[in-house]
This record gives sequence, structure tokens and C-alpha cells, in this order.
Amino acid sequence: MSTTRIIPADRDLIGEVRSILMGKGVALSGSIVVFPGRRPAHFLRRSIALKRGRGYISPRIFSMDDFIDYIYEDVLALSSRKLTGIDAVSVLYDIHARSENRLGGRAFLSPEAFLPFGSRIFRDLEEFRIEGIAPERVKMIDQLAEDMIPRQSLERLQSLSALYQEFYRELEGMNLSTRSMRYRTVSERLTTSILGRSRIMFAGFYALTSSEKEIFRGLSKGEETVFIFQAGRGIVDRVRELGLKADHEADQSGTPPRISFYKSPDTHGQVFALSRILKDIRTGTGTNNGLQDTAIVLPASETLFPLLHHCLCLFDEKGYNITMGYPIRRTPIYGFFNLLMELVSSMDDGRIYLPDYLNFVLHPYTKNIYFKAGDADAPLHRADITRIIFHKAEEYLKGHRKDPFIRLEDIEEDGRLIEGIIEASSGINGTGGADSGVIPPDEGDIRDHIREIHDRTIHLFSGFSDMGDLTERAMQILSYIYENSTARYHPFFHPFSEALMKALIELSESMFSRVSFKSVKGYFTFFRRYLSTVKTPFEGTPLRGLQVMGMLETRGLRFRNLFILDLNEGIVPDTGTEDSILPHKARVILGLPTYRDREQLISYYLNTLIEGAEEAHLFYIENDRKEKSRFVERLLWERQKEHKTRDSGKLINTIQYRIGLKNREPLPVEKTDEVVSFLKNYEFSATSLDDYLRCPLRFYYSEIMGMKKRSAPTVDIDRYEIGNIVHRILASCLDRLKGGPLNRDGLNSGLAETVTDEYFRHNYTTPLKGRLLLIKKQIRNRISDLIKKYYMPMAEEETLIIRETELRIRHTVNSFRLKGRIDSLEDRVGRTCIIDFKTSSSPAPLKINFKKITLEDREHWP
Amino acid sequence: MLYNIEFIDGETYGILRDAVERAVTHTGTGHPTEGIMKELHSFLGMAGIREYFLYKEGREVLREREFADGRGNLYRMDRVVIDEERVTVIDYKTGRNTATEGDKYKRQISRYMELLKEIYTPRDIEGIVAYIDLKKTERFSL
Repeated sequence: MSTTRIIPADRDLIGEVRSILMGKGVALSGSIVVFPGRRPAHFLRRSIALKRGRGYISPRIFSMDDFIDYIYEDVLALSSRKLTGIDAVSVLYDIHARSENRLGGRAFLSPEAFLPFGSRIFRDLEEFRIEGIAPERVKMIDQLAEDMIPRQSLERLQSLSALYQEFYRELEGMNLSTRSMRYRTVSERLTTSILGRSRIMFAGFYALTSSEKEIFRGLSKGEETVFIFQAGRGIVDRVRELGLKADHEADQSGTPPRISFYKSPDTHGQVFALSRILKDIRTGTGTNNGLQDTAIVLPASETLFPLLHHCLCLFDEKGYNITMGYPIRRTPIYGFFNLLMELVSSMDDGRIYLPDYLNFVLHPYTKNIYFKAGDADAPLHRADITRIIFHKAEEYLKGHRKDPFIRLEDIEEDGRLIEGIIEASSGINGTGGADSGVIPPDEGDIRDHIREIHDRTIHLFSGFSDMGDLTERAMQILSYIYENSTARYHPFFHPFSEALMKALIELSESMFSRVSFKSVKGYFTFFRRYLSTVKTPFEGTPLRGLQVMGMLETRGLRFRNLFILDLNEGIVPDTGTEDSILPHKARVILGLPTYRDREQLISYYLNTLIEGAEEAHLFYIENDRKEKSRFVERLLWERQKEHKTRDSGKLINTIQYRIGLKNREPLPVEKTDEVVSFLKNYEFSATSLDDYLRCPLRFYYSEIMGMKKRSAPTVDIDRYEIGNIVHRILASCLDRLKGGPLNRDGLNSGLAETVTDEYFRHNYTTPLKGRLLLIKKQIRNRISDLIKKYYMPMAEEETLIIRETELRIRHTVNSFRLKGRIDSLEDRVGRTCIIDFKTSSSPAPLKINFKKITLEDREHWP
Repeated sequence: MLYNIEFIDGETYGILRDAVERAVTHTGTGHPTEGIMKELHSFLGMAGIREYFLYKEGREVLREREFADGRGNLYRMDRVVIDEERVTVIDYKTGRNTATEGDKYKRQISRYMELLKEIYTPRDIEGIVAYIDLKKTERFSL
């Protein structure tokens, strides 16, 4: 019979396994060790190495998944290809498309709509299979239920049952296998005799699937099989359920861990506090050695980057190791492709939409593509010139174009833009001047460079024949960026781009590669959804230094110092909805794991991890949206009982950090002779005077120094621009009525419509669509209203003559030169009126508060 | 594919066919097997390679086995042939060999040999870098 041990939660699991492996009569190289995950293998090898002090043939150390593959392929010598997730969804899609009784009816018929749905179905089917649930059981679920199952759910389950049967039958016919099929096969065929005399050890398991339970039961008959469990809530029952008789060593052997709790208002607070503690440890020990046997656990992957920027930057890169999955959709390389997809999908009849174009070319990977010119003797490979090109293009296109759609050729051939680029780049180091030794870029070089970037990114990423074609082009673009830009020097470019490349290869080799879509949007929706499932697997070898790990990666490991961040509800445990199309009730009836099982699992591993530490620092965020995890609550309550206090606040360290919201007092600006001379010739407008009254420094920087605020890269019409357009159209309308008294015929001749149409035809070559079309209609209607509802009634009652429009005026008061513009100068029954049009929707901020003004005392006007 | 071969005997082609078909099935690449088999057949027939694929009394072959050094670093060796007097590690290389890569391969095989020395002393240790596409071998000894 096998040996089963339950060791205390604070005992080192790796050390226990090593002791057995290195015990008398055990052939180290002939042994097999299986852990739930892959990480413990590194720690076990190191532990053996430190004990032996020299090289050795490693025992075979597997994660459970790898063990199943090893038995399936190498021991049972079965040869069927293991299906990737994307291929599985493709097979399901084929079955779904030809099925009469489709899940979801007519929904999910397109591949892009089916992909997320299909992924969930695949997960459910895999669970059925690994748990050994027969299709009939799913189909007849209503007979197993004590309460009524809603008709819709029942129909869905019956369709799912048919799909379940069909899917695996099809895979077997194609000689393909999935993870669950391999688990089932191994659970049915693996016996101790197949493994021969190898010692096999299973260590650190808690929750098991039916297939795993069968494997454990089968191997438990062998003398050479050892099971090691760690004590924790529910473990005794689980061991008993397997029919194993355990040597129970449940007593804690060491002192309990010192637990500190930290409450932070946000993620950064946690990271700052952690950074302080690590600094203290390092200062205390004088070296990084104090951080050996230390782990930072990140249950929420989004905390990785704040941690890198504000905490791990304290250490040499070799001083820490990251082991966790990071979603590719959060990475800059995904951002690059996403912007490219946005640009290509917003193209209209071969013309690109400028805001999307500027967003794409200003992405750090695009604007840092090397400009290559010069000759063999004086080669020029510089990213700064490309940055100048695209920032100049931004400035130029925003300043000179009203039409937001443009052809790429028009950008490439725009002489004024190219001239501006040459001018802007002529002064930078190494591209000009007699002593630089480098030939400055000429017009042709710049034009070719812009064209090449367009060809190798935007042109390349359109007009796909199928999904395989898209992935092939995406790989070409990725290689182009890698070889021709500074991207490879950006932090983590390599792991992120490798993960993306791997995902692209997988997609290109999948059955979906032959699928075509009607529109480019279909391709991109599918591609985005596919990439949303991809993670960058940081898989460093954790043999030295500080370990940064995901929650599940810590299974089976023990650290002296432990820092766990983001211990919040919703994260630990993850209380999100189950990623399953099965209703919770159906999962319970079928005996599938539910959120309660997930909670137990995480509770068990968290507890084991904390119990194994000497010091555990637990961080959580507390604000109006986040609350501490139920596990923290429980640990706190235990500490409160120990300390005999009802006030948990005494046991919590509150992280506060001061943020100086007050701006630094600006340095005074000296009124030099140059400034005085400038101001003497300067003409003050109403706006610049307003600026001065609001903030003299702002006036100084914007008017005297000429520094204008840079707006976001958009050519969308903003409120300020709408005001300008209205003024121009209005001036043009009134200009046509100038001179004689206004009359009904003149005002009623569709003037507003004609002038507005003329304006937009002249300034926008593209047929108007969307927001721009609505703006035009709004402007036309408002101006028409102004003419019909304001000028027309007035003109019918009195004589009204427009004398001037857009009249520019200048006046000098003392030595100050003032300038202004009168929108309309009108004679109204012998009175001369100055009209100033305002486009704001509310007149309130424009009204003059006469109560605050004493007409006689102009000195104190605001 | 070479992982699938422990020994070759008189029926080399049959063993090769099994190994290649197995590998093609697992990877799902769909490459034509005949061309690959021809290449491998020619490689396995090379002097300095063939002898390490033949069955011998007392010979043990480890394929893609994991070894660890005294610090726990992991090394996966393509083929280790353990004979009574001598242990040979073979590292397969595909593609073209450049001068820089040659140095890199030499460092790698030397590391393997040092590790094997720690484990198999007093046996002789030798290393072979086998360039499959170039049908060339480089031999090293400690």
C-alpha cells in the first residue's frame, strides 16, 4: 500500500519531498514527483542541489498537467495531437454552424460572435469530460433536479448535451485530444505496474477532479506511491474520500507567523508602503540577502507595473524574479496593434481618419522607427528624426486641415509638411552643420521614410484574404517594429512580443486561419477577442532573490517573508461570475465545482502560504469602492480574539501619503528691456487682456514667449472651433445684406442654408458624416433661426442697415495699443449699434453684472 | 523526432518512419514525412553518429533528460549515451552554423560535459555537437 502523510501547514513541503527522495533505498533519478503547478520543481531541484552540493540527474518533476501528457505520450505511447484552445473553438463552431438545434438560436453565427461564447462552452465541456459526466446526465438534468429548472435553461442544457457528444466524437475521429480527454484516458489506463519500480510522489494537492481522484485511487495500491498533503480546512475529509489512510501530523511545529495588516487608500499606497519596508530590510542587512526567501504575491496582475515602477526599481534586475501571467491586452504592443486596427477600421474610401492616424503614428513604437538615410560612409540611423516627422505632422495637419479624412499619399507628397520637417530637423545634432560629418536628410529621404512606414504598417494591415493572412501580416509588422525601431529597448518588450508572436503562430496554425470575414471590422473583432485571452507567461527561474508571483503560482511553496497585495473582496476570492454557460443550480446538480469550491481552494492555499511564513504582511485597499477580503476579516478577527479587543483598527497599519496639491510659487518674471520693447509693439486683444487679468504669468508665457497649450491629437471640431465657424458663416451672411435696409425678401431667401453649404463644401472635401454632419445642420439651423426670429421681426418694425461686418478696429490709449473686431456694425433707427455674437448655450457667464459696476468708476471694474 | 529513437538496428527506415510519424502527429505540422526521413536517415548513417544509436550490451540512453547542477540550475540534454567506460552527450543543431553560434555551442556542450563529469566520474566524458542539416559533427572531450 502507498504512504499518505498530512504534514502541518507551516512545514516546508519541498523539504519533506526532498527528504523522502534522498532517503535510503530511493533512486533519485528514477523517481517521479508531481505537484499541482510547475513552480515547485525549481525549488525542489535547488533544495536537492544544496543538499548534494554537486550535479545530479534530476528526478522527473511535473505539474499535474505535464504528468498527464508524459503518461499519455511517453508511457502509454498514444499519439494524438493535443488541441489548442482556439482549434477547439473552431471545431465547436463548425458543429454549431451546421446544427439545427443551435445553442443561442441564431445568435453567435459569425465566427467573431462565437469566439467568446465558444470558449466558455469549451471550458464547460472540458469540465464535463474531466469529471466523467455522461452526456445523458446533462440531457436528463431535469429529472435530477428537485426544483423546476426554467424551460430556457433546460433547452440550453439539452443543446449542450448534444454538442458535448458530437464534439468529442468528432475529435476522436480526427485523432485529436484535449486536456480532459487525456486526463480521462490516463485515469482509466494508468496502473502502478505501468510505472514499474519508479517511486512516485504527489505533493501539495487539495481540490481534485474526478479524473485525478481515480488516478490517485489507482496508484494508491502501489508500494512506491507517496501522497503528501498539507494540513488545512477540509483536507482530512478529502483524503478520507480518496480512501487513503493518512499519518496525520497536524500539530503546528513552529511559532505562528507574525502578521501585519496594511490599509491603503489605493494601489499606489500599497506599493509605496511595501517599497519602504523592503528598503528597511535591505538597509538592516546591508545587502539584498535579507530579501532571499521573500515573496511578493500579486493576486491582481494590474498591480505588476506600479510595483515595477515604484518598488522593484530599487533593485538590480537580477535581484528579483517575476512568475505570473500578465494579460497581453494591457501591454504596449497590444496598444500598438489596437491603434493600427482603429486606424484601418475608420478608413473611408481609402482615406484615413486623421485623429486615428495621429494616435497611431505618435505611439512610441511608430514614432521611434529608425530613419535610415545617408550613405555607407556616413549612415544615418536615428529615431529622433522620425519623432520630429510625426510631431511636425501633428502640428501641421491639425493647423492646416479642416477635413478630418485624408489620403496617405497626400501626406507623403505634401511639400509644405516636408519643408517644415527639414527645417525642424536641421538644427539637431549630427544632421547638419559643417562639422557634423553626417549628411542631413533631404526631401526624398523623408518622403521615402514616411512612405515606407505607411507601407509596412497601415497598407500592410488591410485587405485580408483570411484570418491566416491577417496573422501573417501581423507577424511581419511585429518583426518590422522589432528590427527597425527602439521598441526592443523598452521595458518588457521581449516577453510581451514573444507572447504575442506565439499567439499569432497558434492562430495562424489553427483551423480558424482559413476563415474569412465580410468586413475588416469582423477580422479585428475576432482578433481582439482572441488576444483578450492571451497572457504573457513570465516564467523566470526563481532560484535567487526576491520572488514576485501570482497567487496560484505560490502553491506548494513557503517563504520566510511574505507580502501579499490587493487582499480585497472581488480579488481574493475572485467573486466574479462563473465563466460558464451553465446556471449555478445545474453545476450543483452535476457535481461541478462552483464559486464556493473556488473560495475554499483559495482559502486553503492562502492559509498554507501564511502559516508557512515567519512574517506575513497583508495589504488591502479600503475606499468607497473597495473593501477588505473576507479572509483578511477572518484573520483580523482571530488576532482580535488573541488581543482581546473589539477594535480591529489597533491591529491595522494605515497607509497615508501626502500629496502636495498646491503648486509651487512661480518665480517672478523680470520685465527686461526686451519684454518692454515687445509690449510697446504688442496689440492687446480682449482675449489677451482677459488672460493677463486672470494670470499675468499665463499672459507672459502665451503672448510674450509664444508658448501655446498643445491640444490632444485630434482634428475633431471643438467648441472653440464651432464658434469660429459660426462667426465666419454669420459674417458671410450679413455681408451679403450690407448697405441697404434689411427686408423680408432678402432675409427669407434661404441665405443661411446657402452660405453654410458653401462654407462646408469649400473647407471639407469629404462627404460629411456623423458628428460633422450634425454640427453643420446645427449651425445652419441656428443661423437660420437668428435671421428669421431675430433680424426679420426687427426689420419689419424699423429700418435696419448693416454697415460693416468683421470690422477690425485699433486704438492707442496712452502707450497701449488695443485691437478688436466688431462682428456687425448696424444702424437701427438712427442709432449705431455694435453687435457681438456669442455661441455659448448659456448667456449667464457672458452677462455683465451691472450691479457690480459703477459706470463712473472704471478703475475698479473686474 | 530523434527523441523518439532509442536505438536503431537493421530496420532503420521502419524505426525512423515510426519516429517521424509520431512527431508529425503530435505537432500537427503536416510536413511531408518522406523528405524528413531521408534527411534523418542520412544523418543517422554518418560516421561518428551511427555508433551512438546502436544497441550495445550495458549501454543506457537518456533522451531529453533533465540534469541539475550544484545550484539547482536545470539542463535538458538531447541524448546522453552511457557506456561502461565512457559517457557521451550529443547536442543536435539545425540550421546554419555561424562562427558566433559555434562558440556558443561549444560553451554549452562544455557545461554539459562538466556536469556529467560530476555525476559519472571516473568515466571518460565526451561531447558532440551534431549539425543535422550540415551533416557535420564537432567532438569535444574533457
